[in-house]
Amino acid sequence: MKNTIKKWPTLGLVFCLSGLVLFSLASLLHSEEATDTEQASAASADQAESENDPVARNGPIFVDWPQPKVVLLFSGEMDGYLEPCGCAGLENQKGGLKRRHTLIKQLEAKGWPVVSLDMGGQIRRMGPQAEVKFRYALESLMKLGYGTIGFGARDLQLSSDSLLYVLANLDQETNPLVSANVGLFGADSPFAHKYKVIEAGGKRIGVTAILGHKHQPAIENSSDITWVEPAQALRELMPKLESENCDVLVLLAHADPEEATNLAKQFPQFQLVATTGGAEEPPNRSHTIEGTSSHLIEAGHKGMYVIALGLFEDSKMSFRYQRVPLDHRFEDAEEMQAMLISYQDELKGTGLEGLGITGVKNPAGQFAGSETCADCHADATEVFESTPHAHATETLVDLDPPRHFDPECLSCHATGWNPQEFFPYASGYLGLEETPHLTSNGCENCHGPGAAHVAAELGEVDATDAELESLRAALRLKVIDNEGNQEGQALGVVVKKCMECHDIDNSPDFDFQEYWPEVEHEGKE
Amino acid sequence: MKSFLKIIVASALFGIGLGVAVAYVEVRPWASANIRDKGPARETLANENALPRVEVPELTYKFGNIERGASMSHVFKVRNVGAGMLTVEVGSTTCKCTVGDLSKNEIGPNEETDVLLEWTAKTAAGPFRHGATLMTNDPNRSRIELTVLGEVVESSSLSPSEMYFGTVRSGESKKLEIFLASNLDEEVKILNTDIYDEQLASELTLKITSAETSELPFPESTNGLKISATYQSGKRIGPFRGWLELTTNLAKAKKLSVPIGGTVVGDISVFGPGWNAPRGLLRMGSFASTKGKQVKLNLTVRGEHAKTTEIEVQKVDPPELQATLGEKHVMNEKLVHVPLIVEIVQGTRPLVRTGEPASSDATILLKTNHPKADQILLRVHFSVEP
Repeated sequence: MKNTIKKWPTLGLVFCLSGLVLFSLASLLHSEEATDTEQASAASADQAESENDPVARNGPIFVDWPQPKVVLLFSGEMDGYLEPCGCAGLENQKGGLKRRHTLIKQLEAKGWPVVSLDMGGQIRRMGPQAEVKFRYALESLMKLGYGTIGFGARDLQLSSDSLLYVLANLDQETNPLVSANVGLFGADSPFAHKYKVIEAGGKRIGVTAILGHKHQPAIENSSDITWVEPAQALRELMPKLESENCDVLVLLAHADPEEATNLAKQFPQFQLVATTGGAEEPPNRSHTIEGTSSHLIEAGHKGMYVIALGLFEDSKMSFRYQRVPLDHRFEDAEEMQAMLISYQDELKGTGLEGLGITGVKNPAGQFAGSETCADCHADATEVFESTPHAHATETLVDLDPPRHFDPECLSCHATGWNPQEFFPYASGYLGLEETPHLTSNGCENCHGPGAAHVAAELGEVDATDAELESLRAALRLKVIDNEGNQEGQALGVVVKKCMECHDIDNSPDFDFQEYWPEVEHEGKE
Repeated sequence: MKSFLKIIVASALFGIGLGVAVAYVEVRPWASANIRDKGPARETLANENALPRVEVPELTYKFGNIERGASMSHVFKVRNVGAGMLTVEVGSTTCKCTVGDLSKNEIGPNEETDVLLEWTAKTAAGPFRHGATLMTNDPNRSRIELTVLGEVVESSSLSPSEMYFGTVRSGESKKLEIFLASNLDEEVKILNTDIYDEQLASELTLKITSAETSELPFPESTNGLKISATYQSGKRIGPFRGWLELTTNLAKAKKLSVPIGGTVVGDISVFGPGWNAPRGLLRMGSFASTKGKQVKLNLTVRGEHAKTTEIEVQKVDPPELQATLGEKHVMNEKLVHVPLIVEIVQGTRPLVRTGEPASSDATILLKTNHPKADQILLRVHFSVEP
């Protein structure tokens, strides 16, 4: 007893310290759903002066996060954006696998175990370029260490040969593809897991994925793909998944928030339900799904953001949520740059014809090239040559890696292409050597193909005065009063032409009335 | 023993109490993690009372449905419920938002100001979320995010928005349907159709009929049309792609572009990087002799003879080109695939086989027991640089 009394001050000190630790933790973690906004720090706020500072612009990240047991990184709907296009300046655009890789490396360097999960939707177009891109996207995500990747409808719309090629060449040991309700080349094909259990940071994370109702019509024409109603597939899967004794169950829904919410209510065993189909910009906080303790997570579109969810050993704040803008605070990772170089090399090697891109007849005629226009329209040419339009192809050639074999870039950086559908017209640009007269975003991209007009004016074909005037009139464009793309302005023919390239992705700040004086030209001389 | 327990319990209670008191002084519950340290401002209680405190009753506003091209705006109220002068500045906005001028950057105690968020629905139909970040000198809330959200809707909808035929077996046809629905009262009519690809136009048949409202994929649609398309594969092998342009009577959708796509495959098809199916040509590109090059292709055999089809390499020209078949994988009764490795090994002499006019094609001839294709010829182009 005497010994015990002697130890009394020591015990008191121990309890004091315990209390101190307990309360400090409690006061730090007093909010159940922390938001990135609420976690803003003094250090980053001081940087708000600089407009170009990504932290000032998009907010600080991981502020006051203690060491998590594990970080789950959610992504999806990359929509073909392996990288931001750069047209509007990379410092103004978010996204890209190079930045995503740097983020993951930074988290791992902190000693945070990272489990990366993707909801699918790597591409958004059809055809051979999309097939090449899908393969590179998948290989890149595997290099980033993705544990689980779901299927998007577009991914499954690739040709059967292409899908089979990609899947057959996956290392089945590390194959991250998961779907509870999509079967490829037979319901029991070895190409996708029904679910995966990933162990990281001492946690067992069970993950499955579904392709929602909304996307079923998009794949019903493919005889190589079987689709089962998601709830039915999950009902069959749950006993097995639950028997895995996971700490966390995650559902990746390539669906829409409404369907994902309904599934979360039907299967409340999933603590985390991530969904595609929401807004382009993901929310800055997670949301508890009504009637459940599950949380709904959206990751936005085009790979501009990833959502990091930290799991902690703390009963009051078991997780933290961080929307991570993939802006230029993250340097470009060399490994992903190497993948992009290979991707561009493959586009070059395959060629436009190999990519299934052949000239489509333009009902308005054939292209002549801007140098031919210059022979008569000297003043307009002088203006044109002072604008970036005149160097549009050169811009692609000078990039690292060069992009002048990439149809998605060429469509607005050469003459004679359809800018929104990424194909050349029959007499449009095909290559630097094949069609050197059609480099640049030339006159005819706005005015229309001019070969018939040129031939008539030069007397190469017989034409009456009326026919000559008719051909001239067909190429004329006139800016109407108050023409522009802003509220209250008239959306005329000219501004609509501009917006085929100056679209929301590539020129988000486009204001016709501000830009027009830079390219304004009139008449023949 | 009872005394011992009392001492333990008393010690624990005292310890925890002391710990709580110390923690309360060190980390006050109202001082959350985002406090900006402004130095002397926190020194005394009197100074703390003189601090500004921002209050924004509403952080998120739902616009609901917005027709594409329309603009919407919403005014958020920002109040100063503290004792010091509150400064509010616009930190950043997402690109589709404009923030109206703050009528004043400084807000006195018990005063408020308006922040206007405007958004023009330029994006495609679907949900949107945008917002602006305000920076304040409130030490407890240095950043405030205002959000507007809703859904961009269009006066008409195409569903599915494209004609995707998937894989079409050579010589066979495939049919699909898409719907053009009007979401307003206006009755939709298709005035003209154009397919800007002559070959595709010859392979595609369109039939346009009225659709029952119950058939339309969107509940808000008032009327619509069903466009039935049949693709009849001809001589082509490989991908097909094109666009159907619909001219309609809809004021806001006079022209609609519908992508068309799919792939025609024979009983035996080849696929892989650099493979040009329509030309039956593998482009390996230029590479240094010191590096060599390897391309992995896939041969896929479909149909009733898939499982019994055997393939072997019969002849390769030039001999520097190597072709090796891998193990056959049976996916199901009617689908088998076989890897084919095409390689020019390191150290191969400089060699150009890029076809006419510079040289001739390199070739790989495969022999099969398939009743419809006893031989498969693969042309190969490459250039081995010194």
